[in-house]
Parts: sequence; structure tokens; C-alpha cells
Amino acid sequence: MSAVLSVNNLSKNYGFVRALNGVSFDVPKGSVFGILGPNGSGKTTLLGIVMEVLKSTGGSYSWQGQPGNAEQRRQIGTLLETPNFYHYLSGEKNLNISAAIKQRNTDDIPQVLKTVNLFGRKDSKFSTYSLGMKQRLAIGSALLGNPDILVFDEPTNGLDPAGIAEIRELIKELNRQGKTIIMASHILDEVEKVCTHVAIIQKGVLKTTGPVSEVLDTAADTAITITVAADNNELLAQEIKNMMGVQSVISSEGVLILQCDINVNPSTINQFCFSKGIILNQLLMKRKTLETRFLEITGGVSDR
Amino acid sequence: MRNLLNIEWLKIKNYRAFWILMVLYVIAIIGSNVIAYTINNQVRESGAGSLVPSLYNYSTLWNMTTFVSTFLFLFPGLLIINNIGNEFSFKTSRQNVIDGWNRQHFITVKLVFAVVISAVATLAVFATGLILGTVASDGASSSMMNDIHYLFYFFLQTLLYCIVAIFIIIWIRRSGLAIGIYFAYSLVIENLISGFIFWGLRHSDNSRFSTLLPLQSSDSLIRTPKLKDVMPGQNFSDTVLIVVVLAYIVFFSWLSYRNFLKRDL
Repeated sequence: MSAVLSVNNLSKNYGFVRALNGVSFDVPKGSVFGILGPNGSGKTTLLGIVMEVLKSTGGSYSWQGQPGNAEQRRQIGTLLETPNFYHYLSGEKNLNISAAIKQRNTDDIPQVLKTVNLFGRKDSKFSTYSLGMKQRLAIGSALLGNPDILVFDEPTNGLDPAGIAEIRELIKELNRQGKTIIMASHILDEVEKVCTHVAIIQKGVLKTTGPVSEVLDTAADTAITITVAADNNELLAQEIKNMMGVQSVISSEGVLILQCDINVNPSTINQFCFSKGIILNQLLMKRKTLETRFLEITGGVSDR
Repeated sequence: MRNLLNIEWLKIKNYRAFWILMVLYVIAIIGSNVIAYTINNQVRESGAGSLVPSLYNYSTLWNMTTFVSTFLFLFPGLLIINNIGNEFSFKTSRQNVIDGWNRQHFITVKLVFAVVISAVATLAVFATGLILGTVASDGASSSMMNDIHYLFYFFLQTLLYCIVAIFIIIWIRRSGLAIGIYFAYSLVIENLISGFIFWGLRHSDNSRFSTLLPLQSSDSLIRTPKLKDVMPGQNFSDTVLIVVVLAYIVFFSWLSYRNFLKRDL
């Protein structure tokens, strides 16, 4: 797989603040690449640099093997940070300007407006749009001309739950059509549900990068989490502490959360309890989520 | 370039505030000249008429109309600052680059925009002069084309004010503050500095160097009609002033380019 975007040792200083510190990664063609990090970690700074609106302090990047240029940016659909449109123009007229700059014809504007559910409001001024509608217009603008590469910075920002689900489905659908999508997000759930690859950055430093399954699996190597409950949780806790492979037992909200070695599984626990005369009424193995992994990697603190 | 201008047209075509300001500017050019023309006639009718020729006679027509119109220099600056200030506050300056413009594209279009505004203002002055000249002409000897180069001076002056406004808004990036600085500089600060230089050099021929500050240089191209006949030697020749004005236009354009190309958007 060739790299759509290759970032090489990219750095950016704002005065004394290092917003990005030597970040390098490759975005494989055909992937949904999530850039995950807490607020202020440098996600938007990174995307701003590769879209040429911010000047890097050091390092380089290339799009499909070439240094960034205007010609290439016209072939990439981008939503960066906020929806940026002329407040006094209607949604449709704003898209006309975007299409003219991208040197695309305006034929697909009605279709794009329908995709993002704005067709009925296409003649309303941008300033009358709600936050969610503005966001959807920006996504629509990125879709103009059916580009093969899309860059979405916090795409579900300001959307209601139905809108969030729609946009995630749209991103997956675009990916099924073979498009490469680069997506920055601070919402772990979103990255986990949508992305195939992930780069985690914190305080401008790349913590880890790779396919989502690999980033998760390395976490799964060390321990698994199993939740159990019985009619008498105190007795259960006393007994299960002594089971082989159980590292710790935490009582929480009517259940026991067990940290276990990876060779422990639900059936061995069930068997053990049964042999002690305890009948479990709840038994659940939790795969380590990106959230747990994320908190481990970043230390669980916001950067603000 | 046609594509760039077409996009700028899409941006302003439906922007009502721009058109209101533009129309007000043109009305103000016509109106201020009509007022000056009326005063001119009243002075002459009050008895001095036989001694003083009409300033709207062809012999001084273009000097007079352009001189009166330059007092409206706040309009072109306001149009420019409002236009570019919007791009910064809407962050569309950023979006235009993201969508596939170079930064050079953006700033080039704005410089062309300044040329167009200056040309429209010059046309408005030309039309006003034609009308008032026809009405006021008392069959005196001068031709309509007499001193018509004042229209070119007016164009240069308006363009320089526009370019200075571009420089301020590109540098400051916030409309309110930029308008404040533009007004303060053009109305007060430069006149103060110029005054100090003039006062400091008042005993020598060098006092005329006070007219070489950016806006003063273009103001000096269009002086009060008849005054230059009374007070010669207070000014550099028109050729020198034109070269200075052109140099300032290039200089401030270059500074704007440089600033916009180098900074984060």
C-alpha cells in the first residue's frame, strides 16, 4: 500500500509552546486514518500544516509522494477546524465559490446538498444556519467534485445524535468506495467505530500509530477485564481472589471487576465458581477498548 | 486571472453592505461637487463674480472636481478594509487556500480589487466633471481636455489610499482596529508628522520634504486650485510626486504580499 500522506518529523512552535514535536507517520491508501488526541494536542495544527495554512517550524510532508501544492489541494476535500463560509451568502452560493476555487463544475452541488440534508435550506443565508447545519455544509463542500482524499477535522462537531450517526455512516460509505479519509477526533468511540488506522498524539508528540486492531491488541497482551456478579458478591469476592490468574478484584456498583491474565476466560471462571458452589448471574468479558488504551498511553489527563 | 476575478465577483455580487457603501461613495462624489459648485456660484453672485472666475470653468474644472473628491478618501479605505476584514473574520482567507488557491492568488485579487475601486471612483469624478463643466462653461477659451491629467492623479491617489488600507488590514487582521488605525493615520497622525517636519524645516527650502510622506505625496499632486499659482516652490514637481506615489504603491503592495505569504492564516 502506498502512502497518501506522509508526514516526516513535523514540528511547530507557537512562541515557546511546542504544538508539534517531530511527528512522523504514513497514511495508507484506502484507509480511514484517525488522528486521536485530547484537546490541544496538536491535531488541527498538524492538519493545518499539511493544508498549507500554517507554516511548520521543521520537518516535511508529502501528498502522494509530492510536496504540497495548490493543484493537489484542489483534489482533496477538507474540513479544517470550523466551517468557513461567507455569512451573507446562501449555502448554495457558498458552494459555488468553493467549486470555482477547486475548478470543478457546479453540477453536483444539488446532489451534495441532498447528501448532507441541506437541500431544503440551500437558499437560506449561511448566517441563519444552526451549528449542525454549518458543519454539514462544510462536509458537503469537502465532497464537491467527488475527491479521492478527504480530510475531516472533528467531523461530528455540533451534530445531533442522528446527524453523528449519518456522518459516520457517510464516512464508512466513502471508504467503501475506495476513498482515503483522514479524520481528527478527540472522541475515542468515533475513531474506534469508523477508523481502520489510528495515530495517537498528545502534547504534540506521537504516542503510537498503526492499524486500530494492532493498537488495541498490544493492550490486550497484558491483561483482560472480566465483570462478574452473583447473589452474594462478598462470598464471590473472597473465593475468586484465590483463583489462579486473577490479578485484582474491584467491587463496583453491584458487580466485581476482575483484572486477569490473558489465559483466563469466562468458561474457566464459570467452572471455578461452580466448583465453589457459587452460581453467577452475570459474566462478561470486556475486550480492552481504545478508551482504556488511550488513557494508558496518554496518562488520562487533558492537556488544557 | 479571469477565474480569480470571477470568484471575487461571486463573493461581492450579493453582499449588500458593499454595494450600499459603493453607491454612497459615488453619490458623495457627485454631491460634494454639487455643493462646492453651489458655493462657488454664490460667492460669485455676491459681487466678487466679476473678479473671480468660476472654479468649475474648464480651465480649473478637473483640478477642482478631483480636489473636492479627495476629501472622501475614507470611503475607498473602508470598502477595502471591510472586504478583506470579512475574509479574516469568516476565516475564508484560510478556506480559499485549503480549497486550492495559493496565497499569492488571494492577495493578487485584492490588489486588483483596489485598482477597480479606484477606477470606478475616477469614472464617477469624470462623469461629475462632464456634467458640471457643461453647465458651468461660460464659453471661455479653455477646452474640456485642459488639465484632464488630474483624473490620472486622482486615480493614483485613490489607489495609494486603497493599498495603504490593504496593508493595514492584512497586518492587523481585525476590521474594527484596522479602520481605527486607517482613520487615525490618514486624518491625524500623518498630518501631525508632516506638520512637525514642515515646522522644523520652515526656514529652509527643505520644508517641502514634509510632502513626501505616503499619503501627503499623493495629496500634494492635487492641490487647491489657484493656490499653486500663488505659492510656487512649496511643492515638488508633479513628475517627482508621481514617482514617489508609484514607489509607495509598489512598496505597500510588496509589504502586504510578504506579510500574507509568511504568516499563519
